[in-house]
Amino acid sequence: MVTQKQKCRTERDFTMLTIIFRYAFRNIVRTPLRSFFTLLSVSLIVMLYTVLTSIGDSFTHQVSSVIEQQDIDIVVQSKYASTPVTSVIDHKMVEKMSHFEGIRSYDALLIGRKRLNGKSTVFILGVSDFSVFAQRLGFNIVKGRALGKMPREIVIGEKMARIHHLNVGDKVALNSGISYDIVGIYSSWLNFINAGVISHLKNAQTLMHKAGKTSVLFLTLKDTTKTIDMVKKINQQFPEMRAIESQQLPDYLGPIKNIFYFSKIVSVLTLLIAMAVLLNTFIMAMSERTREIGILGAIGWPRFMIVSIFLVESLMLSLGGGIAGYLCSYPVMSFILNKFANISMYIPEAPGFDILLNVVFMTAFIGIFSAFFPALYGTRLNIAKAVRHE
Amino acid sequence: MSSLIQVKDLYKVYDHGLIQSLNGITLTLESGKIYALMGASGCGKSTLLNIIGTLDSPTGGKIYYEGKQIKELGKLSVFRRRFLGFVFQFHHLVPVLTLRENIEAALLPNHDISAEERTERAMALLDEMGILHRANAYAGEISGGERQRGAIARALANRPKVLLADEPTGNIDSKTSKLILGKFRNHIEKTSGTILIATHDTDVADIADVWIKMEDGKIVSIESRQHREKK
Repeated sequence: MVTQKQKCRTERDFTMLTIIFRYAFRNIVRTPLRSFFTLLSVSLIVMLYTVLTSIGDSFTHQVSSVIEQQDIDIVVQSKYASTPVTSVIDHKMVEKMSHFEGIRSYDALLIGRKRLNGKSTVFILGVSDFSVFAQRLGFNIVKGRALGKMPREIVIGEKMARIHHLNVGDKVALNSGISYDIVGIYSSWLNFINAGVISHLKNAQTLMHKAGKTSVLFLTLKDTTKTIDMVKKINQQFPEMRAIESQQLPDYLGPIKNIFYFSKIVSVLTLLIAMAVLLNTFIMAMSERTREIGILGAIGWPRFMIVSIFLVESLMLSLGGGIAGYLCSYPVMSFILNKFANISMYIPEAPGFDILLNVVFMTAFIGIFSAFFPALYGTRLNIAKAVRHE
Repeated sequence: MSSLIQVKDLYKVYDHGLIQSLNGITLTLESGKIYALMGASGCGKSTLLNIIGTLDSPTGGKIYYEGKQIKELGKLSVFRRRFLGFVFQFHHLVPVLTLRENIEAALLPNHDISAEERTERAMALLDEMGILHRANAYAGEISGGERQRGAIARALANRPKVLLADEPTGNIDSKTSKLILGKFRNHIEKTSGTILIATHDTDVADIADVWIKMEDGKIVSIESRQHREKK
């Protein structure tokens, strides 16, 4: 049975929260300019975080997803190539490797960059078998047709078509003086493929002046338990190559690693900057409201109630700024996407939901951390001194 | 009459002993009485009030609250709201809360008071102080006298046994001052508590049952009303 005291306590907790929220909100409104600039600072910082993390996460995630989706066990590229674009594997090596016992199938991929109509650069993927590639990555032709056997045929991604205003039947120059026919437009959930050009391996080799060469070789084994042995075997027999287990690929890719580290550094920096902004705000607020803290202490408010006002206030500012920053990142990403076609393959259409969760947790942490210590310091002051504070 | 507070040989020094604010104060506050604490500025009245009110700690000496020492009182925040009420010279209302909310704020941490009771009690106190019509006004929107009446209502909200007032009429007109003093007397009659008022104002001192005169951190005389009247 619920006693009168328990009932009062539940009711009190609820009204206490309501009053604390109201109190905190009015304190925010009490100093409108400062609150506005704090919100603005937090939202700008979070916007920067969202855009940069979206780009970093999206690229890393896409490469990892390709590996998972493709049912690939081993990835081979040049030992000293920092990126797949600079990796070169001769077709003789490909031939030898493909005849190793235990190899079920292999796919060769040539990756390069070329200027589109002499302007911005685009990624070109030369694939050994278009239908296998399309099936494994789950993308489909949305306009026109798939790649045929004719030379100088290409299909382009939906995103690329949109950014460069291209359509099926258009001709584009990917190499000086030579034009290529767009026979189809495909749609892929993979951002960097969606913003690229796909051609048959041989056509791509000609286009990139890399006859008989590929950039990366994907191997699928008959028995996946022997992956490590196969990796060792390839690395021993081809010392100029580097074979790795497919799950490790994102760690070996130079730009991905850089983007990953960059996004982590940005996360930490934004966290620290947002924390400094809020900490400054709350040190000032605490100093201005020392007397108020003293009065609340004098009328018998326990320390946790006084601290909670500052925490709620800080959470309102940090979460408000965080969500505003997250929402602002949509138009900013759209602007970057349309303005800088060169890097469109790195930029997702919109920040992911996981980033929103990150933003919420991060800003909540910042809010709590930034207000907790000034508030705790305030409540530890001698009440008599606090009440006399000018 | 039982003693509510006993102060024994209380000392308070500031700045590593350079300033001696209280110098061996011994005092007993009994229930049902109003005490006027008088003396020149800087004689230690406010310090004594703050220490009795547990807002500050003494350098030496002991205080007993209904026979218990401070370390036996449990959580000080709970003790303050159940036993003590404060009225400061300047109203010190929380500016972002309305008058009603300011009074409710004093009741808020209590586990045994429901929301309705809290509001009822706040409204009744505002009515008693003659400022019910200002219940939803913020401190910045009302006069000095109304603010001080609001501050007294807040101090009385928890029906404290001991009310400590530091120059409660220092910044208000004589009419409001009389009203406030009348409320103090009513409170004593209702609760059989005690009130300790630090003041320079002889009108305030006139309503007191006991006059305590301080000089340089010491009590120089304690006179009861009867004793004064005989004089």
